[in-house]
Amino acid sequence: MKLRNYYILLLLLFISFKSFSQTSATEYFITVNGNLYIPIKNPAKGIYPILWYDKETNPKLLIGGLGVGLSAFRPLENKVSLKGGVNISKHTYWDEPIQLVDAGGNNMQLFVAGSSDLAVGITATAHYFLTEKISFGTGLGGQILLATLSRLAEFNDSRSSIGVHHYYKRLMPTLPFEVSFKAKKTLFNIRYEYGLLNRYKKDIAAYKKDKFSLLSFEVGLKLN
Amino acid sequence: MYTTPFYSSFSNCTKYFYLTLDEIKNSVKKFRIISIFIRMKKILPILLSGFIFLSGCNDKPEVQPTNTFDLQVYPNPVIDKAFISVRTQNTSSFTLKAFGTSGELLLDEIGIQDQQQFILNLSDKPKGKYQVILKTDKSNFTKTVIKL
Repeated sequence: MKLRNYYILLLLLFISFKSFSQTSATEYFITVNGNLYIPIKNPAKGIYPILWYDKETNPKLLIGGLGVGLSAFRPLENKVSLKGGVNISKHTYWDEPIQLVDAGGNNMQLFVAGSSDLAVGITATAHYFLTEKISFGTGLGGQILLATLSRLAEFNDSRSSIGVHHYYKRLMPTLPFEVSFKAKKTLFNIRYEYGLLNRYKKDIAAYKKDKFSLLSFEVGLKLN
Repeated sequence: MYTTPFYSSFSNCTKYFYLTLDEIKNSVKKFRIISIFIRMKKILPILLSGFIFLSGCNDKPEVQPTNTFDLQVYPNPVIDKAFISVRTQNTSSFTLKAFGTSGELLLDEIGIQDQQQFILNLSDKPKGKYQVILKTDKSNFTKTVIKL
């Protein structure tokens, strides 16, 4: 299905929900998330842990994907709710290895760094409640990339070990799948988001492929 | 003994598990016990919190040395000029492309000999990562170059 048709279908879906909606209070939650970037289309990258200790890496304490955000549930029909969410998160992954070579062309070592994308994530999903508290939903989402930070190899003549590249598209539409557990004051979400387009932009997109793929674990506290 | 291969793949964290029939039965029993705990709503937040912090593959990707015979970029990191050496294993044509930090095309060369040298001038370019891609009729070779 073309992306435009998908947008139109979702728009019609949300409009139809609105017409059947009941006047129930919207519930708002403040959320924190831990996330794992899963590079399913780029085997050169690897999954970085959310929180771990590894004596063989530098730094030894590995802190991966984390974020904060807001979520809202708006009841529509009997077992259906509309859920909106926005978050600002850091997505971290082991980046593609870089072969370091001296001036004479001799290979030195392979450098593997943990790289991070800082992005604003937005999701709009229709949730179906299997029980009073457990629901699953899907809809449409988007990732607005703010920055990509890549650690560079440290050398005597380098002042900073953080480099920035802009290979990736600024806006990435995503397809979210979500399972939620909503109690009186708390909310738990497990959400997977899959990018609908190649992440690379401009000329390089013809030669390299990468898909946005993110698994998030979210905990929320009710605000109202 | 009857065994069931259970295959789990997460990019670079690829592992094989072999479970015996007894182990599967024990796992089912354990799952029933866990499901009882899950029904207790006070336990669920603890379980989920633990899952959040402990989930993830901690294995740093195992890097296999690539065949540097085909594409060599040096020095890496580079200050101003990078030298690109291309060797193909036959005399078929190839294209060599280099991309800047924003994904823009910086170098576009077509080679027909089995060994050639190119120069990538990055002296007026911002520091960051640059991609050099060698495309042959059979495969692509990619090298990442760091500009300091």
